[in-house]
Amino acid sequence: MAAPSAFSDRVENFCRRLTDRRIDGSLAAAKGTAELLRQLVTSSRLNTPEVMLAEVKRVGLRIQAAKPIELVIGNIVRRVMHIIREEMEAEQEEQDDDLMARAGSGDIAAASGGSVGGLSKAFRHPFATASSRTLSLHNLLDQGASEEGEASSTPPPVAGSSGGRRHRSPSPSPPAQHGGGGGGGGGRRGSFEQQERKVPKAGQWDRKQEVIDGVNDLIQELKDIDDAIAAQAVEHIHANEVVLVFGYSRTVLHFLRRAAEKRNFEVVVAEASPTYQGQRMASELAGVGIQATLIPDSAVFAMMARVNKVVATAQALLANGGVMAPVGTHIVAMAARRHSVPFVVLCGIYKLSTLFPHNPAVNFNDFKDPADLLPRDHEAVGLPRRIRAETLRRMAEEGDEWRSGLPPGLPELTIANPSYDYVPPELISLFVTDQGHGFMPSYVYRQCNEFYHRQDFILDKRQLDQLIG
Amino acid sequence: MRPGAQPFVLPIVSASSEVGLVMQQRTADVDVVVREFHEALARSSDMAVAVAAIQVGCAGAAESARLERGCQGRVREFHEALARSSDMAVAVAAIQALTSVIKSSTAQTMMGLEKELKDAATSLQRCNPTAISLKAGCELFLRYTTRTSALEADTFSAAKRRLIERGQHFAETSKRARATIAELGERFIGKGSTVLAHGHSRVAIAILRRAAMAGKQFSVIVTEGRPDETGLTMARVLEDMRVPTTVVLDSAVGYAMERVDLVLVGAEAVVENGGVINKLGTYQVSIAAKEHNVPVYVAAESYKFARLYPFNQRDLPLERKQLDFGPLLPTSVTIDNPSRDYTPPQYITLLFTDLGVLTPAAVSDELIQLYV
Repeated sequence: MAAPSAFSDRVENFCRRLTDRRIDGSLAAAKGTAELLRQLVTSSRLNTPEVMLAEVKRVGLRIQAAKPIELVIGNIVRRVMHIIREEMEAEQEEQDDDLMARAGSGDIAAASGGSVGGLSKAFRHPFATASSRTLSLHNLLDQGASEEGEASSTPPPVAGSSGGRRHRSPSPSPPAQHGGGGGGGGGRRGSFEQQERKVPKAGQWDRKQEVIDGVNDLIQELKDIDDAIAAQAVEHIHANEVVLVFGYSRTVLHFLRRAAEKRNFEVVVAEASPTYQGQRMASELAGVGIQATLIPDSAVFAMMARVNKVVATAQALLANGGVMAPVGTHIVAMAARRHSVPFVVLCGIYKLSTLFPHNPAVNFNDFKDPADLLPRDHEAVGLPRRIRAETLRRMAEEGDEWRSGLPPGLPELTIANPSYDYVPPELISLFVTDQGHGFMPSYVYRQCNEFYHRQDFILDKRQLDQLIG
Repeated sequence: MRPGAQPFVLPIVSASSEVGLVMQQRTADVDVVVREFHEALARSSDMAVAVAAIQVGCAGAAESARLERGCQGRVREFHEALARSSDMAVAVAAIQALTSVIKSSTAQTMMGLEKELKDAATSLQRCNPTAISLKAGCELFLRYTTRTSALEADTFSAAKRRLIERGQHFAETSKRARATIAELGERFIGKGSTVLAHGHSRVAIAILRRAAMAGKQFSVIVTEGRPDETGLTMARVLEDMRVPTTVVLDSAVGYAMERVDLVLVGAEAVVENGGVINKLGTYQVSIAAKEHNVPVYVAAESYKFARLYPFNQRDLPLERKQLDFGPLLPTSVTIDNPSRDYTPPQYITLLFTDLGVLTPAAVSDELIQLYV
């Protein structure tokens, strides 16, 4: 089914801007993705939850493919899919309640309703909430059989009572995907397989509006992100503290500004080469009346003895509790650990990714322009003059057959300018997010389970394998 | 031999007199469930039952004085040998055995059925009281039956049928679990990395096999694994996969750790706080790994999650094996040879399970799911 051309144009436009790095920062990428998905979800074509999920995933993967290391794109896609799945489950529960009510009032013949009538709602509840987790210890034994049960056609036990329509499996994802995720909830639903289920009306899914509202809330959350994090500033910054920050971060700046309204404290800013954005941070802090001291990165360890707290930012929060942070943060974290200084990371929950750092130094990292370190016309960069002339001559002579090989034994200067650092979870003391309470790195798995559905943790295996190389 | 005695026992009798003696004694009252259990393991074993028995028979000198004491130990070793060679996990075989109990059960109520199952589980565990994965598997199945019994089916026979269905499908779970884990874990083996493997774990092998088949270049260092020589078994398997393998002594782990990129072990059981119980030496390996900042990855299926909470090594239901150092060791010297140790969660980086990649902290959350 071809997407309406206006929408797919917008998607392609956004993807192009992502690839060209014209989208500045992960918040902008997240907002862009969320808005595109909102437009998609409001489209009238998508009238069943399954179709909606499939389309959101398809568009999401397309956007992610434009910039694979921008993990927030995948996060937003997972959030939207989570919203849809939650609505699906809420709807299922409602229907089950309806069935129970009707069974209780004796509408359905006793024979077919026997399994329903005997249940008390309280007893059923653990399954109701637990079925929202697709694969878990308690439904481990249900996996194999329920997949087959839903695949094969099981006729209703009592033929013809209330015109029993067959239960349609809610999610068409193949059972093999990500460890039998499709079998989730089958344990409970199995008993209702043969019961009547409200077939969605041909027009619209009932709960579509709730999904749209959910996505709107998500977009609002992204807009308020800095405010929400800064609201907790007063709890974390105490009077007369010395806080160390690294480089420039809009979030940290906002956080400190809010704290400065009520508290008196000092900030030490590391300038963060090669961008030296820390200088900008220091001047802006001084501009709002906060006492700031600017130091080079090399002085961080020496200053750490006099620091009470480090407040850092993160590019991505990984599933094991580690973070991808601006390059240099790892060293600051190690210095902090060495001096037993708390290392607090501020980030919005939209940065929480379900991926693990398979190869921490290399994964999810971006390499920037080497000219940041040494300009292109610097004499150490490129080939020495003598060799350059020789190579140019060979290129001219050999033409098409020129194999770009430098003469052996030639020392070559390479410049590596990574954007991010991986900071392992054991160096981090606390995460402060917009959700209103801090948590420790060991708690990250709970947050993952709360905001995303387990079967969405890996959106596309091939894309993941390409990303981690 | 009684007529109609299980043919299964015959190879054992012919192969090893000591074990045969014990099995003969038990033939008279051997439970159906125990027999099913053995058969399930044997069927998927690549080693003939006879060979297993011979291994056991040769395992120690046949002194009559030790025979009495050692008989139970022999049977246990037999189980271990069979379990090790079997492709099917012990817990899965146990659940298959319990399923057959349901099939042949004459109980008319769920309570009666549950009692039969409990008795069967107890006799299974008597075979090998220290096999934690056996206990965990039985407990999982028992819990499952108590949970579903009150639900679902209107009639007892329908409930029974459902339980049998589920139990039978569980054997598939083992294969599927390994495939899932292999896929998750394979991503963590980087190109050109050196993996340290300890103990013979079929799940860890599945991960390595998948990486090898994906064409990744990596090499493996295996520990010798005294006294049951797991390292040699692993080396044979890895050789088949054409993965460059190095064998080191168990004591060489600290020495080798500086060139290791990751440690990969299996688990016999995963305890509530995310720690693992695994072959003796795993704790040592993980301490050395931590010192060198090498990640330790544990590959375990989710049915190995056990409701244990050890605080130290003494808290384990330990099994002590006979170890013969020969005549040079004075007999008054005590030998302490446990087969397993406990590795606390702070030494473990990640667990690869069929429920996904978990941090040690996430394990107890999963366990609570089962017992909520």
